[in-house]
Amino acid sequence: MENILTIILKNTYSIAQLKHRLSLLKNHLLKTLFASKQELILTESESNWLNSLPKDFLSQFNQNNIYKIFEDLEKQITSLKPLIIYLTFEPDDNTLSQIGEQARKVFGRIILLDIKYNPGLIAGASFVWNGLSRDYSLKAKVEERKIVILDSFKKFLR
Amino acid sequence: MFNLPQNVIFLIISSIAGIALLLYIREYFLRKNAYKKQYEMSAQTRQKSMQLLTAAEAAETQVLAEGKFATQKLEQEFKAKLENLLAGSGKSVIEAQNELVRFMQELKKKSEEAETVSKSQREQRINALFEGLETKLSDFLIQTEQKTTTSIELELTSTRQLIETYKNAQLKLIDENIIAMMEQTLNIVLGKKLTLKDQLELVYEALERAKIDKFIV
Repeated sequence: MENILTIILKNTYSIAQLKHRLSLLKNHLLKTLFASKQELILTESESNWLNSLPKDFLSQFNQNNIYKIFEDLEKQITSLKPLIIYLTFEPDDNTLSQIGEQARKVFGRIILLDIKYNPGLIAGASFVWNGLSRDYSLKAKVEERKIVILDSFKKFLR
Repeated sequence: MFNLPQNVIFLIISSIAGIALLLYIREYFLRKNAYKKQYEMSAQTRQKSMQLLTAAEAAETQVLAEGKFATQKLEQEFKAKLENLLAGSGKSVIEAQNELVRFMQELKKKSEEAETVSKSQREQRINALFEGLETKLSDFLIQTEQKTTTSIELELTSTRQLIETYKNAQLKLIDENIIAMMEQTLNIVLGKKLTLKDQLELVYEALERAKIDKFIV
């Protein structure tokens, strides 16, 4: 079971993405295993992801265990601890992949992101981890250098 | 009526006339004797009266003589006593007058002294009153001045603090507005100017800083 989640998380970087991909995988497997006639309409990135999965990974699922596996996976998802990250833009899948890979590279482990949008940060990002918040955005930098900036402004005002 | 003989009537009338005549004669003599005695008595009385009158005149003369003397004596005594009395009274009046004058002078003197003392005391009281009033007024003015000064200083301090607070609040508001304007400007400008690559680099930098800060362990 852990292996299944690890494989999925290999190139899945956010909670929303994980939930979407699990749903997608489940629908795909149900169609495959139960020969459903319902047609799945997939985007290019969704097809690419499904095709990127190893064949032995898909072979773990059968008609008997598929529901149990997904039920367990959903339970595991609820226990995951994501890094909430506030961005000033809404990343697409590619950008999300870049940020996720960079995060895993920097911290040296699998980190699942929870992406939120906050245009007030101007640029950069702020994080929430274990209930603690830390702002590394340009707005925070402006706030840090507020006195220096104001002094500079006041020089012009004189 | 009775049928008496006329002789008898005559006889009776003659008897009554005789009796009346006898009574008359008797009365006549009696009266004559009485007149005589009365005359004698009157002569005696006149004589005695004359004697008495003489004696009375003599006595009167004596009495008058004696009365005149007594009157003169009494007058003299009365005069002397009156003179003494007048003299004594005049002296007493003069003494009383002098006494009254002395009393009045004494009274005047005492009154003047009392007036002087009263005036002096009044002046002292007035002076003391004025001094007290002056002191109280001075104290009151000093206290009022101090209170006013303190009140004004407090008001000034309060006003200065209020102005300072207002000034600081306004300056803070201006600062916040400057920062807000700058942030808004940066947001607008950078939102247009920053590329996705720049945005990603800033996110990567944030991740690096979070690692350095050991925010994510």
